[in-house]
Amino acid sequence: MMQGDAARRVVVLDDAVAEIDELETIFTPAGFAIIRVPGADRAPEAAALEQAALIVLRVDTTACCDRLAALRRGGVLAPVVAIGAAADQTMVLSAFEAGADVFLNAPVDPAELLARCRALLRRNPAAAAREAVAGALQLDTQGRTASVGADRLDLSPMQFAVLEQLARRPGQVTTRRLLLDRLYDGVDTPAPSVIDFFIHALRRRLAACKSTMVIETVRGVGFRLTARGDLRGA
Amino acid sequence: MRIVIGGDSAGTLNPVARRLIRAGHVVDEVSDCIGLEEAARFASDALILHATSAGPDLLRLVAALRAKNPQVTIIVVTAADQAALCALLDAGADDIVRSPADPRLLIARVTALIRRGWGHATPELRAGQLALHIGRWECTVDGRVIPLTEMEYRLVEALALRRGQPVPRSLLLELLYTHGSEPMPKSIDLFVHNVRRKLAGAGQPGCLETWGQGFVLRDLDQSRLALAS
Repeated sequence: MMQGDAARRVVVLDDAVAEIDELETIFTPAGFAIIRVPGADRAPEAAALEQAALIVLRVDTTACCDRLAALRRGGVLAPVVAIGAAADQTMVLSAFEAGADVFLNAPVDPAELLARCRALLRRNPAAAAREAVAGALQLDTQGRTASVGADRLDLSPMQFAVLEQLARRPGQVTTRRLLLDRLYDGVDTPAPSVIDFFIHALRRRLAACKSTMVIETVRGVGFRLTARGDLRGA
Repeated sequence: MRIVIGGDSAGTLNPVARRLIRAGHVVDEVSDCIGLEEAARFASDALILHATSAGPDLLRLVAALRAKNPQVTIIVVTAADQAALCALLDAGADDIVRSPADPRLLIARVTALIRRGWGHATPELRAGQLALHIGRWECTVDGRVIPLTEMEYRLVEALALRRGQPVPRSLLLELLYTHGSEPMPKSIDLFVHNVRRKLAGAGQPGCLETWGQGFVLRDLDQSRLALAS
């Protein structure tokens, strides 16, 4: 039942969507695992919800809003799709106040719900913050730490900023100009070669951790982050 | 929050713009889609796009805006059918609202998606003992209200949304002022100074740090945890 990794686990409270069987036929091929939780039963709820990447629940009464607010206070941080009567303005506003992220009018079309879930998951940096890059190089852009496997890279803020820019677009060239703009904001105008110092330091640290990702120089243009095997002309 | 409103019939969103401005947000209105793409080159928290029809042009525009800015919240107000709605969402829109849009609900949806975009699960943004309630325009420390001016609030809100992340001064200048107002870069430092004084008065000094060319609002509890580990 728990197929799919946590990032694709959608918890649907049973009373949320009438067409839950139809929902499963649409969501499962799209790579989402739907976990049903009996809406009225609260005890097993918490454990499933803490694992969820996304929660779909029914909000038509103030009691539902209170329940959502209680979940939020209890540390459930996953995005919530609330389904209810969108015509009831006060209800919609209190759902958002309680911590809903999107409000959909009931009855909801399963295809639309799938598109909404995709859009909302894309928005949630709790998953995106730990941008996993191929080759086990991991960047936590919130905590501003980088690691290769279990080894933490000891980086200065500037070195981290350079690596972050490269890791945002692995395999693609990041120009020296862009790096200078991002690092110095157009306020300072250091010698463009300052970037080489950061790149040199990053390469040394990546090599020390036996990273499979390396920084490749693209002559006259900039740099790119690639897996060691993909290195062209090496 | 800085919100750009535009599209081919953006005039219909005038009530939304007025309401947002009354609520203290920075609002830029542009009259057409090209203007929207132009305005999107500057930092903003959300783009509200009004389109009379949900054709392929709209899809292209949404995809282009999304490609340029992965973080911004994109809301489309249009009369889309089910298929067009799903296509718009997959092209990069975060929410589709059927027109005519109710201003209060639209604003609730926009702010919910903006805070979610930075990983906040409720309208209450927390950084240690500091709490900022979006929509109520209220900043508290340990439950005690800290009186902030409009600009100070905008500053704290921008930093609280991006909690723990350094925000360059140049980005703050774009987020805190309407386009074309040409503020003095040092005005940000003045707001920071005043906010620090007020936070220190409330027994919460040190959470608004200078970081390179910008500032960062630290979650003090978390930074302590990080040091301990």
